[in-house]
Amino acid sequence: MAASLGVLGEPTSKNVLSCKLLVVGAGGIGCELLKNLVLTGFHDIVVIDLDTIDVSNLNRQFLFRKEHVGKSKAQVAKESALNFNPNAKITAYHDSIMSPDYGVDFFKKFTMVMNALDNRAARNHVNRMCLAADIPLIESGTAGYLGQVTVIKKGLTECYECQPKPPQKSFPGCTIRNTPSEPIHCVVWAKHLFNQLFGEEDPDQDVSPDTEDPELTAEAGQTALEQKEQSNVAGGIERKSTRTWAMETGYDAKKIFNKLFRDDIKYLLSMETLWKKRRPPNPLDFDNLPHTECSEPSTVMRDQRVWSMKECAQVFSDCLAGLKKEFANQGENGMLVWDKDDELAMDFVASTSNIRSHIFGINQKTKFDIKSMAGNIIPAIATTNAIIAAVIVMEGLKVLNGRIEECKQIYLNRQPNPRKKLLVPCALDKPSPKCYVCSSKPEVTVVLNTEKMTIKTLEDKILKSALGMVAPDVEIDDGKGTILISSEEGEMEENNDKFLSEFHVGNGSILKCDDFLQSYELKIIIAHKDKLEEDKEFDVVGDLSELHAKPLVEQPTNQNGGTTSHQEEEDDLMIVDEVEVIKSGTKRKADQEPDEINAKRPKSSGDHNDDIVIL
Amino acid sequence: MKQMANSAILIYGMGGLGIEIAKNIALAGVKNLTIQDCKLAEIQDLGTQFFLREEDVGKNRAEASSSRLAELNPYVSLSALKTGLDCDSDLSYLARYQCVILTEAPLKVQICVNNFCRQQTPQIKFISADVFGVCCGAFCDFGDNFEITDLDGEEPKEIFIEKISKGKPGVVSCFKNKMHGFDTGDHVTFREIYGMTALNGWTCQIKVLSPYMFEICDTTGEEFAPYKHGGIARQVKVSQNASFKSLEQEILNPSLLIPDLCRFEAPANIHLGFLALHRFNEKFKRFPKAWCVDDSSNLVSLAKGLNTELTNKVTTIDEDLLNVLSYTNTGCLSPLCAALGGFVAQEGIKAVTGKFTPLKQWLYLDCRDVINKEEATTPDMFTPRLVKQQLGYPQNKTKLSCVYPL
Repeated sequence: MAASLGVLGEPTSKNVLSCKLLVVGAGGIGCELLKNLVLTGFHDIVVIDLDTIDVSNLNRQFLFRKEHVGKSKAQVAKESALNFNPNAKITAYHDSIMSPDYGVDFFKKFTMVMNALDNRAARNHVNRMCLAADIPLIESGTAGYLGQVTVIKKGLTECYECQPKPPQKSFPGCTIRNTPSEPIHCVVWAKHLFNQLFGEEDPDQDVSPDTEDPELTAEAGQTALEQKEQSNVAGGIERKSTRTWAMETGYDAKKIFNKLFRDDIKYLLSMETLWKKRRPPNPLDFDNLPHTECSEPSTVMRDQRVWSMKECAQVFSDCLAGLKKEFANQGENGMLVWDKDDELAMDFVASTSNIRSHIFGINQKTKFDIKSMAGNIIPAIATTNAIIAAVIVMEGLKVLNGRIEECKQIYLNRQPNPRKKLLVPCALDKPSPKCYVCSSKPEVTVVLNTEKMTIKTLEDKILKSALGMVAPDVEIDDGKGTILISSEEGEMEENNDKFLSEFHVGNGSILKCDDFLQSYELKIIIAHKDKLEEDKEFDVVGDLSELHAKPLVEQPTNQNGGTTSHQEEEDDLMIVDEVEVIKSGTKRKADQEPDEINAKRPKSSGDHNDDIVIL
Repeated sequence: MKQMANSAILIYGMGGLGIEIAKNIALAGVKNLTIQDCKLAEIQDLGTQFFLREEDVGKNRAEASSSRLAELNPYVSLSALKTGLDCDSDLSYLARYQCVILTEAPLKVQICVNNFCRQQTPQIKFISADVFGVCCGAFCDFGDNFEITDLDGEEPKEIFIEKISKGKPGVVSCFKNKMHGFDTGDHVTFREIYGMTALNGWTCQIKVLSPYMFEICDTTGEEFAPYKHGGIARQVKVSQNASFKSLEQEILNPSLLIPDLCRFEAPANIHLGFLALHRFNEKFKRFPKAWCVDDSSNLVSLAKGLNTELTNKVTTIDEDLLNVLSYTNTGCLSPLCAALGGFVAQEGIKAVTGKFTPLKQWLYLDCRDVINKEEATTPDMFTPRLVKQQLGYPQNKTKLSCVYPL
């Protein structure tokens, strides 16, 4: 406040004092951002965050203390920030920004919106809300030592969704615990299991079935819940932690195996709603393992072939015994730290993730592949958050001064390279005329099999998950205006299990989608294809012409073009916390094609392309 | 991060920048963190020093913020020193720290402390950093022979081998034409090779031939049996030594990092501006007044004089920048403290861990973009006025009104 006003001069200071700000997210970046804003003199701030404070947040989210664990992040952040300036007016909402309570009118109240988010869905949503309300948005993200800040203004700059992004690499807890569908889900689960048994116990890393899965509405899962209550009441025992239980068994491989891979899976199966649209898992019994073939002859190295179930179970038993010893050597309060270069720890994760994959009918992976997946989980770094939050405020001050065109997209690099670059400012790009969000007539092509795609899958996986809508209405552009999906509850549910083809939706059909909350209308052009490669259910293709340029039988996902695919291989980076580098896939992987790397590099204003990003 | 958990860091100056650095280092976790400051908290400190509150005004800044800082991480043992630092101070107590970070210290004191740090065995890593208005900068000196154990913090790359030729040099091809991602000059070690078993456990420097092939050592010798199958090549992190120059040497011949190529000369100009500010302070026993035209022209001429002393002279002196620096230097912008505080803390962590390549040696950042041009060019409109109530503090804190116009 005072000190910075001396720097800023009168007009800017006035703008700062009168400006109304919305800060979305009160996590790693959000805490730093709130502090900077309050100290810079911003007086009128609304902060919103859905989360409560977790022990694992305390090592970087410095507005929180141990006694705050379990409380609303937004509320505690507000109280702590008020200590820095008791006269600031901060309003905290412990709520999801995607709730219908925060419509376009809500957004219109603000001078500017600042994102400090941790997930793609909310970023997409806020992007659309700010476009609809025509409010400037400052978007940010960090991943380990990398970070990025960019400014989004309708009609002036690229929006958050103008460029296709690599698939999101962070997963909701219920996917990990209840409904894994990709190998990485099982790898994450296996690492959590390791920590639950031997490492730092983190309540966020629970490995048991999650009965609070949002998919389990009032009735669904009721049986499961009741069973659980009964067993608890009957036994008169409180729920034990996985570790306590495992220790009591003496890390008995058979007992642990049967709990994790038989009983817990049976329990999951009892949550029937989960499996209506999914392949249900198959529980395994330690004494009755299936004969699965080895993928490669045994001359191939152990790390490089997929193990059979029996091998997995054997490795699992051996690792448990070995880790038990190591764990005991750590003494009373000791624990093991998972390290991918530790053979036992790595074998443990490789075997357990493959057993789980087998149970859920997911492709198994070699230890080598699992190692690269498991090793790429990037921790959040406090200093990166601090720097990025500072850059957000500086860009915000430029926006306030009405000089949005001078704003930059700024990349923070790990360290200076020989070219001595650390914070790299790049000019903001113009909006993409083909963007399916911010162009004047947004449209997108979706490749799918109309005979196998149900209305429900269209709504959940395509419209909501891939295209970021919250409450879509959909009608077919067939002259009759046949309604497929309604955002009103209870209106069109009877359509849910029907296939698109039953409504005569075929190749070239057009669906008109409208999300009232986001004030967003989108035309979807259906491209029918009998079979997509890699068993994908669908492909979202940014631009129709690109699709026409190539025959449909060819792979329609194109890394350097305007396409996004839903289930790409999960290879390069896995994201935890508020970690998402927005557009720059700055983490290079040896096996990426060179053009893919180029595509993910941010564009620069002045000098082109030569090692600007990779420091 | 074992080294971190065993190291001791001292941060001098508990203003807006000092507290940012301290917060970040406390969160990252070191064994011992000492904060030192002799200044008493003033009302304007509250603008950037977030761990000071109104009731702390008049108390020692280090002492007043230490309890709130200590709450951040129970594993860090935190102590506060109330003594000042000048060239006559007994510096021997610094010997117990691996890294010393100075903020808000006069250039002369920085040089004294830097020289002391260099004389110790092992040398103490030294960082000094300051925020002046819209500009900020940091200087790192990690000694003559600083070992960097891990240049980039990346995971070592690993590839499967398809074939190794017998040749001088031998050539390795990658399995299934996967790209190896190595660079010429990398060190690579081998394991699980069948046939040419002599290579297992061997480390050698490579030369990249293509994304799928690279040359290794001479494999024609008898000990190298023909390659059969299998094998993994893994990159080996080789530690490197970096040599830093002292602050005294670097002042006149700075190794500058250039964060923004569009403004290539900005760091050199800020360097000059900072030297001029220190010179101004030595000469007038104060810093230039906010938005004062006389002081700013004084600063510009000091800078021009100093430029003649530099080994690498600044070719185009950016008078606009120097003016803005002079107008704003007594103010302190919180986001700039936060940004520099992030970088300096990261350098401090590099200093004690040897992980990641450190900055060599000066980093300057500015955010004059946040100042409107018309504000910067017509300073007359910034005649000091009484502080208005929006500031959040009562009007009777008159000290503010003289220094900081609103």
